[in-house]
Amino acid sequence: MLRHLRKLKPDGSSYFRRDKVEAEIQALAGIAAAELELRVCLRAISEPGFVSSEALLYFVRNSAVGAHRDKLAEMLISRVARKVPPVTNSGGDTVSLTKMNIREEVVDHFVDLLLSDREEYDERLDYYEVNFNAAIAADRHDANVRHWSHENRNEELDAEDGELSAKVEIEIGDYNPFDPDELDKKIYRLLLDDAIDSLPELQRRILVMWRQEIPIESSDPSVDSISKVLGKSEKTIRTHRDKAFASLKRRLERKGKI
Amino acid sequence: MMAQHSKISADDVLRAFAMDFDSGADVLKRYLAEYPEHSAALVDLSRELMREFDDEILPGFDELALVSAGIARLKKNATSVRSLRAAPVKVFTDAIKVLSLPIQVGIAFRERRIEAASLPHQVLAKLAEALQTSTDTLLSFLALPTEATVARARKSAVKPAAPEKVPFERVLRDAGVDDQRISSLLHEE
Repeated sequence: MLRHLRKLKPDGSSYFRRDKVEAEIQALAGIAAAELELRVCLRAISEPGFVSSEALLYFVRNSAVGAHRDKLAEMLISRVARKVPPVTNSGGDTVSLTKMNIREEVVDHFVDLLLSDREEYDERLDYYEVNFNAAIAADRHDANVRHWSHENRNEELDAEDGELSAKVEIEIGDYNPFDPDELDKKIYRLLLDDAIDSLPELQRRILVMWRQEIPIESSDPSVDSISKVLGKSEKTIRTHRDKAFASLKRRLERKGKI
Repeated sequence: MMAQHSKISADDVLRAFAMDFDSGADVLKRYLAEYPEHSAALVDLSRELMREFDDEILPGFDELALVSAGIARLKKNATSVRSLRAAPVKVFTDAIKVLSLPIQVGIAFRERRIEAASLPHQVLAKLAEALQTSTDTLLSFLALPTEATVARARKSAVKPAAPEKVPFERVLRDAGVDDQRISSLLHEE
């Protein structure tokens, strides 16, 4: 019987590990400590014997003090570090002090949680047993808020309600950066992430909602549109969406991927 | 509705959203409708949840340094007096194996029945390392009052009196350690 998670959802119900994680933990509980230590070193999910980070965390939290727990914890910390963007972009030519600070903060926060959990059950770690990558994404978001706001990254909009130039309209044509065929390719997704990071905040937010199929405008006041959420006119949203598309197209063309 | 929401922290909302994100296409729409006060944060978090990572590339220098720093901090704070007090007997009987001593000696450490002043430095250092702690922490732990472990207490029909602290040499003799080994342990530099 696995130890239950204690963290409650906003509606008061309990968080649960996913079924496949529960089954994985049950299976791993029967193998030797040395074998588990070898298997947690596998990096790619596609490798046979790969241990999920959720299961790895379970064993770190529930193992007795000692060298075995330490080895598992080391691998877990390396998994956290893998889920924070590198300080160089995919071209390897840009170094950002802010990105370095964000990386350090995410890893430090996780170490803090592990230490706190050793003293007394810390239910904040439960999130990582439910969905490790999503919990780390939330930590990245927290660190982004703190560090990018320090750097005052809010770019001035050069065309609040301006007309989209004919040149940009021609440039984007029927271009869609979220073409499902392209998104199937890992290298494209990595380059697209880099390109989106380079956009102004408003354009990034428009693209996130556009990708989640949220309408730009709606005549139904109960429907959350991009225009409503961001507090901008429909025309402004369309203008900046198209500008974002043009930027992505240029950037990805330079990389030779479209 | 808003009155109820005011009791829910932004952190709880955002992490609930993160946990739900993979469950369907309409998750962002649903959270935007339910928590309009967190709309910008929900959109920005969506961006992070969609971020791609390449797990197959080898870690770079900065990543290795980052991991080393995290591990060092974890080890430095590895075991406190509190966690030693909460540790099961097996942790001590396993740790005592680094000194090739019987489990009775490990139990004596767990029950804090050994006079700390009688412990040679080398013994302390080796045991502290095996327990993933510092010698200072181990000494602080040993300075606390003696405590019979649950396993020993249950074997007695009457509630046992708290055992007294005794010299390390006495613990070794009671555990059947031979004279030569005791001598080498007590006079080890």
